[in-house]
Amino acid sequence: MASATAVVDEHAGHDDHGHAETNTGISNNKLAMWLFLSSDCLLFGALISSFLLYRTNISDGTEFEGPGEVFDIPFTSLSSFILLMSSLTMVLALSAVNRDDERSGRIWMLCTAFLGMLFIGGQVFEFTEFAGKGLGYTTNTWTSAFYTLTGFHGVHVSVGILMLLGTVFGTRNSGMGKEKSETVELVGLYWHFVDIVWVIIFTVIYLIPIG
Amino acid sequence: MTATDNIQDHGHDHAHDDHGHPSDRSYVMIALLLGFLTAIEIVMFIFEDDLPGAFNKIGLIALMIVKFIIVGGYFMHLKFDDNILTKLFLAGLVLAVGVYWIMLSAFEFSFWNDGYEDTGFWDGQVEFEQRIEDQSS
Amino acid sequence: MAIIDRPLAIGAGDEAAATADRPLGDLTRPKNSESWRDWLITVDHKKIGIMYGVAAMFFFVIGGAEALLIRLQLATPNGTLLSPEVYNQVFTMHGVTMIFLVIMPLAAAFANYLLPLQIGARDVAFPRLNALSFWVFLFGGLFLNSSWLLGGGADGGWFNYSPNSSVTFSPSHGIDFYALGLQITGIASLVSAINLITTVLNMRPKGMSLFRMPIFTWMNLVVQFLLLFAVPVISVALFELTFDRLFDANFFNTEKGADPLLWQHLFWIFGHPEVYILILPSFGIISEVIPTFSRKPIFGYSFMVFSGIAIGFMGWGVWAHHMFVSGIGPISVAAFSFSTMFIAVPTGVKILNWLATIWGGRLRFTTAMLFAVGVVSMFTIGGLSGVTHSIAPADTQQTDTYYIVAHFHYVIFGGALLGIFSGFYFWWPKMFGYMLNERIGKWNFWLQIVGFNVTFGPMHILGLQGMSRRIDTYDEDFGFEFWNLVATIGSFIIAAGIAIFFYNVAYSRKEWKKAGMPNPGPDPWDARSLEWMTASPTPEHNFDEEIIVESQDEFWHRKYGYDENNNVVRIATAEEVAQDGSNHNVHLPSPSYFPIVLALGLPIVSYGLIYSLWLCIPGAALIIYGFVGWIFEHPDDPNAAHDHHDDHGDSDDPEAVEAGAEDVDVDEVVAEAEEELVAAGAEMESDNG
Ligand code: HEM
Ligand SMILES: [Cu+2]
Repeated sequence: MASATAVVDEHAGHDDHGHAETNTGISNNKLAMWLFLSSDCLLFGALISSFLLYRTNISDGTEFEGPGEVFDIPFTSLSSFILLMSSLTMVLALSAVNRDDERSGRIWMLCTAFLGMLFIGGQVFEFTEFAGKGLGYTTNTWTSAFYTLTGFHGVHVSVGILMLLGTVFGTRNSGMGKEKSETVELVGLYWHFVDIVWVIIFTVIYLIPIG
Repeated sequence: MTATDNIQDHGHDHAHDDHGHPSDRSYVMIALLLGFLTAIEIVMFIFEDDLPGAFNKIGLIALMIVKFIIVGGYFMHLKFDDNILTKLFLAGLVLAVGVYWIMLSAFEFSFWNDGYEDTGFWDGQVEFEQRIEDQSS
Repeated sequence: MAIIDRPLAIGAGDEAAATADRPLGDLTRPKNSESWRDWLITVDHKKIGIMYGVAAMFFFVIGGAEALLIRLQLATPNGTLLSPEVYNQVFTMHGVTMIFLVIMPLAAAFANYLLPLQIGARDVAFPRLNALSFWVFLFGGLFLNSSWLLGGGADGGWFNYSPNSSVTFSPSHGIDFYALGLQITGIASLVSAINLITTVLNMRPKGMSLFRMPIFTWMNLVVQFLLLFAVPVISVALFELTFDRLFDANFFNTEKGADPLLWQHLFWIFGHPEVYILILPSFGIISEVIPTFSRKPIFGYSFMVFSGIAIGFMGWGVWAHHMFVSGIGPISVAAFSFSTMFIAVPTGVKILNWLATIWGGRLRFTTAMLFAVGVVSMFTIGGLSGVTHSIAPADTQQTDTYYIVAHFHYVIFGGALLGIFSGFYFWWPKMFGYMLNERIGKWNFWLQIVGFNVTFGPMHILGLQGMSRRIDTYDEDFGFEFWNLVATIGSFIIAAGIAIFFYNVAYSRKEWKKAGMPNPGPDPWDARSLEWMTASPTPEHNFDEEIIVESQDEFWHRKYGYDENNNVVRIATAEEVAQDGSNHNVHLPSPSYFPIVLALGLPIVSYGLIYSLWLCIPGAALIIYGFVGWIFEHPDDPNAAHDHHDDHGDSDDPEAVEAGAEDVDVDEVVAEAEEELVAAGAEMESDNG
């Protein structure tokens, strides 16, 4: 059934998509998703701290004089903003699905996926720019840590895009009405998580000045 | 761990169904707020040189935390869901911040200064190290 | 359907009806049968538990052979059995195998088998993910060991410190196998952690509140949380190591100014919680065994629970005690020294509680009980030597010597492994329907414990004499000869003890059959918790009907009551109380091909990363195939569902027990298998509607 929390008022307890009751009142799927996200905090934490450790460690004999030189803050701000807004479209999708408004639900999810792709496109662009400036993956500790961190985040976003598209296209026959609410909710949780990780990366890696 | 301590049996009733949900309109307002906060961040970045360093950093981090809480609380529904989800998530988050913070401190890394610079982070450290050196030579 | 499979429950019938029986055309939904193939596709937590056990014992034999090689090499001065290079590989692989492929999966074996039973559930929350965990672990372990055939194993110690682990210093592929192999087994641990936590938090029957759960379940819950949070840390470290070695990244490249201590920190942030991951399951086991054979409830149940939680919690704040001499600075040393001394406190609480449980009990010294008492005494010795190296100045002498080797063998062999053997003797009848022979069991125990002390006791002395760990030989006049020889003799005594265990398994099984002895019954030991409340061996559906729990040690309280003088009296026999497993109408989750298919892709991709990226393509294809099939497959065979649809009726709360049906979060699997990046299409969502 739609998760106990997603369907707020109506049908509590007796919708026909029978759902085993759980001790916590939270569905197994949702609990598992949150456990996974909680675990992922330590994954990104380790990547971010590896980066922080090396953020001024650029002794490699190239021209590179530090991140300040290559970061294009206006550009990254724009892509951060895009990702942030994709969280909005995601909640709107969930809200539409909860209203059983299938059409809007699909549209908002496609929007979300599209914004995600824009973000990934931006990342690819940024990486090529950096590479053009002579900053390869193996150039120095800073570049290794930077590409690995942002790369892992990019992979998470891409997985999210696949989940969104999978949900939209995989339900073409069955419909994506209210009964799919929990699916959409879980995809959304994952998506928002990836978004807040970027909120941290954007501030800590891009904005906070060194020194 | 502690997050799990107080899970009681919620039994077989829908104990949590009585919360309201934000309307689409409020979602949009929240997003606008997030956008606005991001704008402030960028402004702070632009005027970085005119603001005292610590102010800038603290400000940016504060904004980051606010954005984090808003997305987590509203978009991820933590505010409306059972508390245990918040606790589970916080367990991972707090643990991550804690252990990695300690790890970076052990590297004498300081967020508030340049990465590696020796911050002499406890008084007398230099002197202490000197003494060790003297003794061993 | 799709990203989430809903548990099949009453009313889901029409949704299921349309599901294709042949999701991808070729792999049809398997049916239950009696053949060996059943084991490949099973999603039954009991079979998966047994497979974990068998696989781990297989690796145990490999790791044991490596141990004997080490001891033979060191038996006499200037040993020449192994070259220094091979010696490095042998002790490294011995450690890695024993920790990641023996103790952890043996603990997983018990956890898988027993957690659902002890809380009275039908199965785990996500049965297919459970099967996935097992296959991923098995293939990861085989992958890791295949390095022996492909140019040699890892050779940097189980912790593979950088920069010694770089290509420069370790040019063979051994460490690549280590990094990728542990990455794979890490996925297995993470998936099963999520699965088991969800099971324990969500699937308890009525009345089974958290504080009525057996201590074994509690300790495993703590362990799963430790895994949940520790695995990602080692994952990142291993990714960084892999990228350094295969793609020339610079995380640990000191030439470019990298700090090799980054590896040490990440490794030990994982590593110390890891040692509790090894020991807590064993603590859980003996906390079941000791009360049963003392015929007393566990002393201080809540102290037991909270000290377990405290250990899990504090275990995160002591990691740098492994780095006292690495130059982390006096403040760090002081702080971590302090925190390490404190962690012995909750451990001590546990030891006192076991002693208090034994105190005044009517003891029965069965083999299981002997092993449990062995744990209490041997672990105490190991814990005490641990405290001696929490004192940093003392540790400066001890570190990297055989004293450390003595410490961790007293805790891991004397603590974790003996506990697991205790569990074998205790739960064997429940798992296999026959009892292990007690007389042979006593031989098993005494040889093992004597051999153990003869092997590892002398290592304290050797360490204090200054013998280094990881050294492939020593000279005659160092004064190390005598105790090394003693240790080697001891190691063969252990080997004899273990051989007797295997003999016991075979012998008891044969005897049991030959003598036509009766089934040991549901409750051969007069035990206390719910797993004994059903037939032996456990029927496929676990319980005929949901158990409504009213107290801790529910089963015991159904057997015993109090008379007017407040004396304990028996009020019912086990047979009267226990369920006989005769309810065959319970609907169970259907088996599936896809976990094993998906898991098989991981080592192939890993070989690809090492040898040729082309190989990643078939590997990734397999993963995607397994994945898509998984999503398209209804968690329950719709036909089977219809067959049994009406038979749910006889338990009081069919929904709660039926919750064994399965759910899948796509991204759990994907996100963790990121390196293989499941490509487009993997996410296609199916639909059963
Ligand atoms: C009473 C609690 C314990 C304390 C205070 C303690 C303390 C320590 C310390 C300080 C070290 C580092 C020694 C050095 O390398 O110089 C150490 C090493 C070790 N401990 Fe413990 N320990 C305790 C319990 C355990 C347990 C329960 C296990 C495993 C089940 C364990 C497994 C290990 C291992 C494997 C090492 C060696 C790691 C290596 O260098 O390869 N310890 N212990
Ligand atoms: Cu430790």
